[in-house]
Amino acid sequence: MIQSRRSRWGNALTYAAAIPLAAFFLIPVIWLLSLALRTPAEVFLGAARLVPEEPTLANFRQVLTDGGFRLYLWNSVKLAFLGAAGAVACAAPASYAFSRMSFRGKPALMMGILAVQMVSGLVILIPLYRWMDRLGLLETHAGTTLLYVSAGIPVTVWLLKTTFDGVPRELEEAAAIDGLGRFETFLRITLPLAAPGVASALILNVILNWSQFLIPFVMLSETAKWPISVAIFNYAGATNATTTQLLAAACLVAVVPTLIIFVALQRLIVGALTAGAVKG
Amino acid sequence: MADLVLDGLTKSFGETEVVHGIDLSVAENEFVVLVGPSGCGKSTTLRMVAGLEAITGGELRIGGRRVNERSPGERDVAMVFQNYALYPHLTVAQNIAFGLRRKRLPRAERNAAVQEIARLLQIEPLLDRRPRALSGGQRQRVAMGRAIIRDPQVFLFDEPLSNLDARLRVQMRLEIKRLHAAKPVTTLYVTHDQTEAMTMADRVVVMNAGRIEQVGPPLEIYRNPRTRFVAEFIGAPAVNLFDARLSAGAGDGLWIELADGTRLSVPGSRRAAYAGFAGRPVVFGLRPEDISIGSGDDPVAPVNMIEPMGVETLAYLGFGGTEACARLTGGHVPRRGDRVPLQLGLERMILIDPATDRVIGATSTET
Repeated sequence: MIQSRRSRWGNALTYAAAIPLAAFFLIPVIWLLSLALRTPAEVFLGAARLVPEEPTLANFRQVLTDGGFRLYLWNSVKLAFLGAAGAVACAAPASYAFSRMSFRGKPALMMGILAVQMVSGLVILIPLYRWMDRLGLLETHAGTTLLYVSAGIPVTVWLLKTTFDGVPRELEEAAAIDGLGRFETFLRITLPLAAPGVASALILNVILNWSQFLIPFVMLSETAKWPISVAIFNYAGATNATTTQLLAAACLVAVVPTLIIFVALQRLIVGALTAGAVKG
Repeated sequence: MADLVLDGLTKSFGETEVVHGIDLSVAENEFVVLVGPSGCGKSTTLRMVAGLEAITGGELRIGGRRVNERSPGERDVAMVFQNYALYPHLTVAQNIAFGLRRKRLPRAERNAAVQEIARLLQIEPLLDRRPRALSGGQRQRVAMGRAIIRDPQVFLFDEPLSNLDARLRVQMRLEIKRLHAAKPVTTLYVTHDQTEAMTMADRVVVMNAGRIEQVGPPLEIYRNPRTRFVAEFIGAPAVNLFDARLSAGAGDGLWIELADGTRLSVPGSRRAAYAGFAGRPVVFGLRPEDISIGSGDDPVAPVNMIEPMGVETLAYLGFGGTEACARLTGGHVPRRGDRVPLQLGLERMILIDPATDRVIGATSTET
């Protein structure tokens, strides 16, 4: 009885804390949805009326049928997935080495990799721009992807190291006795067993890449090569009152894929992020 | 099939040497058990043989060929791990077939081999399952199947039964022995369980602190331990040891004087070996089965505790200034609090020199 009353109070407190927090993140999205459903005329009503009088899907229709917009979406998909795949492919062998081999300076190197992550992209933007120019990679998706890959590597190395740590060493020893070399063991034993962790690293990278703005903004000036994030920014820059509702719809369409991915694979992602933290 | 020779094998981790020169030859098809307490270097030694641990010094030969620098796969050894180390993402059949990968057999031949092994180990109905869906004993069989199918030169076992419950352990022990009889392979088996060592081995290697204490057939080790460590480690319940003094009596008589004043006459067959120790402190040892209920003029001892085991009864007796365990069989079983006369099988006694912890007059010198 006392127990249940206490837990009810606990629940109440949890909600009291969670509701403002949820509101903080949800209100902008709701506002966006409200705008996206309005006719151009109703946009002028601003916040006076949250639920539009004549809700319309016309804005979404216009955005989704717009050839340019579809191209931006496709660019985003391409860059996000290629970048994620590249980061995981590069990080996996490094993580394996960090997990399985002992060499001098390992802890320092691990910290060093993380330290790279601490440097804001803004700091190295100008040299990076000049360097990519030298390499002739400006205005290319290849160059942009390369930067996505390098941006994703540090966190992915850490993530995958924890994953590989969870694969019992004995299995690799058994494989060695069964005659497999190190690389074959990695490919046939370790990697398949680490698949859930590898998958969530991939997804996490896709999500991070999807919201990547700075790199494509600097690298790509040709409209046709923009990912959705850059396109929306430029759209917004050119906006006037008559296009606000379209911009809102575009923003929502751009956010939805990551939202779907996250909700669908939430358990996998959280599992990978907390692996090692709770391992007995 | 091949013989296995460990020639002065040493292992160091950094500055610390943990295995100090192991000399051992395992004959073709022989079943040798390395036994010792945890941390004695037995597993490290096995892992050096497997190639999972680099050899610091000495030479390892399989079939007369030096293999120190060979990778585990090239040594053609198979190993059964303590935790079985089955590949969780593969089925039982795939796990067993995995070892054949290098032989590049045609599919039909490989399947036939898997079937044959499954039949031998009685795991045919399990072939499509994954390791997760198996019991401990079944996993153990699959792990053995994966090793056997390779038809390796040398079979290695690293405490394969220690994760099983007591009943299953006894059963698997017998099965491994049966398997070895049916398909003999040169085998090195590591365990900390002296019962496993005694029951399974052709020869037992007792290890302690990175060294071999004694090598020999199980009963030889049991009856003629060379050191105090071996005497205490092998045998359950453990050998009874008493602090004592050896004293010369009239003529060529020798007496063992225990702490409580009991005097025991050394049998004639042992006198020559022990004579040099007359007047010195010794440790007197007697196995529990060498103490039995005697008659009238034997020394009398109180019964402190009784453990009935079914066929036999363990009696803990106040004797020799300490407590001694006697393994009593048959008819009359004393009760707690009784005072019973003890008959001691002194012709099977051991005497240890406390200065060196070596058994005095030990005959077994084989390594």
